[in-house]
Amino acid sequence: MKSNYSVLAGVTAGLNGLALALAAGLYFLRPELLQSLVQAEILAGGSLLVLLYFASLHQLAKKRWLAASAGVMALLSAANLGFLIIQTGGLDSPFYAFWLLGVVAAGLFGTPYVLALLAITTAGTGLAFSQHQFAISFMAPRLGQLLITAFAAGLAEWIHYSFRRPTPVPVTQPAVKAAAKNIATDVLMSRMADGVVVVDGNGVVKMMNRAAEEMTGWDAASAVGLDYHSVLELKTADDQPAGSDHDPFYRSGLERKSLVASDLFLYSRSGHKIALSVSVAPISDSSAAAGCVAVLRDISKEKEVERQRSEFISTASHEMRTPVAAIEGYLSLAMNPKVATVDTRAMEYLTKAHDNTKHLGALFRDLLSVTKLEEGLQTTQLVPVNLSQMVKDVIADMEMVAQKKGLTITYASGAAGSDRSVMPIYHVLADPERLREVMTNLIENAIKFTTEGGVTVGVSADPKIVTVRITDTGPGISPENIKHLFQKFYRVDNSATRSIGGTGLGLYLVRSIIELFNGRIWVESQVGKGSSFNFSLVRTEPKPAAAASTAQPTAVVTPQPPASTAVAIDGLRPAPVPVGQTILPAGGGKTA
Amino acid sequence: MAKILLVEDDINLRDIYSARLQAEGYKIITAADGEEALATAVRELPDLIVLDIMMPKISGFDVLDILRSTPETKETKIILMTALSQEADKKRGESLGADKYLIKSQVTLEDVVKTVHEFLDAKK
Repeated sequence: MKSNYSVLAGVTAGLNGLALALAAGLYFLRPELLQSLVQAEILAGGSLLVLLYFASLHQLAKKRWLAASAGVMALLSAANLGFLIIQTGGLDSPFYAFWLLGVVAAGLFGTPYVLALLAITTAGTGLAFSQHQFAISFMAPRLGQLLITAFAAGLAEWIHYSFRRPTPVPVTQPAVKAAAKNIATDVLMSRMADGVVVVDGNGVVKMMNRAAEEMTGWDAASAVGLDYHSVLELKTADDQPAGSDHDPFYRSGLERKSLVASDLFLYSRSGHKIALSVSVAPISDSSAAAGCVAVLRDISKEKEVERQRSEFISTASHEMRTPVAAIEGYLSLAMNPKVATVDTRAMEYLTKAHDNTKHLGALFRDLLSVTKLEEGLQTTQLVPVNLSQMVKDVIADMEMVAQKKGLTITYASGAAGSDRSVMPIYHVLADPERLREVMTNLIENAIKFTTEGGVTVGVSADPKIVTVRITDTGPGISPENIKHLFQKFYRVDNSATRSIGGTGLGLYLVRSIIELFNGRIWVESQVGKGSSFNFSLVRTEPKPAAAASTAQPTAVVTPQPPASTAVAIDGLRPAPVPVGQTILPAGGGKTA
Repeated sequence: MAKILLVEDDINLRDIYSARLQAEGYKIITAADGEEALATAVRELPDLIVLDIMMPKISGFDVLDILRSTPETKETKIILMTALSQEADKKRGESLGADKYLIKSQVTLEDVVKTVHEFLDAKK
């Protein structure tokens, strides 16, 4: 019986109790109505039972153990009533009316009670019948009583059912709506072109839609209950299983946020490989192990289109550069007295043509870089890069260029006063090729715009970021120009620098790349004193494999004596340490 | 008079480098593709080979590899010229045995001349 017991039941039980209490009162006040001590004891017992029942009414309010307490009490009071009636004359008892009342109460307490009462009543009637030698004359009115009992019981049961409060499970509109929604969701799920997989906090697959079944080659029935690694075989571009760095489920669970991974490949059960975009979102729940839902999208077509576009761009770039190189080459030959003779007029024109050709070449180069960069925004993988090593390499490459102009280029370590031959090893999160582009570009600029003195490259770091500072002793940049410096095609409008040339794209490119790496770039400059271009990147730890491939000793922190020792340890030829020339006067320089 | 084998598929660049280097007094032999380059190298035994990488049929890397495996050309000085600016390619060139790796977009014709001088004048 799952019905809630209404106040009506409680009231009726109360009336039953009151009736018994009244009987007890009668015994003590009008003893002539009741004949024996046994009756008195029963009455007292009955009253106690009723009191216990009232005590259990608070359970009624709390709805705890409701059925049990009400049932027990009902049975006990029924038994008590029964005894009372028998002792006071059996079926002739004046308390028979209370019996009927009890039946009504029984209806409110439940079917078992009703049946029990009916059984007892029938047995009692049968007993009385036998006591009266089965005389029909005795039975007739009693039969009426029996029928009335049965009818009352039936009536009570009916009342009980109609007054019953709704069961806790609401089978109403909301339930129907929910059921309908489930059906709609199922239809949606099975029709979706993208795969949907739900994984719980322990990595166990809980649900998979049809598209996911097709993608993975697993049917949902078998997949549910398995660990997601068995069902979703994800690998990175280099065919390695997606470890904790790349596994979006793991990362989503760890960082408790939604994310998208577009660089993975899914291998179906039959070995078929597809390029996948996985979008994982945690299922919000107060408990930590709540799981996540993932949407899998086959991006093989997109990747193919992208690949074709990249290929087109590379081919186009090669195609365009070829005639430009030829023009530039022929012009330089014509201008070279060792190869050809031209008059001064021709030389003048040839020189101008040559300059423009160089400018054209630079424009192509930068335009292509910008296009590639904008395209590559989604596919760039940030990895730990040994920044210190890269700085060394770029400086080495640029030395020849600097020397041609009579400039020096040096490395300065971040801590003031430290021995310059020591190179602390810093790693940053970046794309190596692009970072190299940035460094080369900035140093090239510094050299280009400086006529005397030199360029200093400084690296400093705090636990979170690494900052690179490229300082030159050039003419400096005015504040109005600084504002627009990193814009596309911006070139400083200055007679002194105009002749130096440039496409105006270099710094735009540099800034785009640095920002792609979640870094920051800024410039400090004073007209007449020089400029300092600074950029900061996210610091990271080297990957064990990466550290091995660059063959760098880790953490060379012990201060070294003269440069020659430094060569032996890290293989770098010592950078020249000219006195005075490369340090930016007053406020710049090493304190990055 | 030092002999230079110039391997370059672009006709214009071939002309330009030839003319410029001849003006320096070197004898120039040219090859337009990898196959021709290998045959010519073994036949002429140049003092220096200037080798382009992006070529049809066989790439400069393959030519380099074969040259280094051929006894006659194992020790010949080889300068790689290319439009490829990736670090990985530079490493590949060096690991295959190139003596110098020059990137066309970064060096001028004069830089090439200077490098050639470095290699050949030192020998003299």
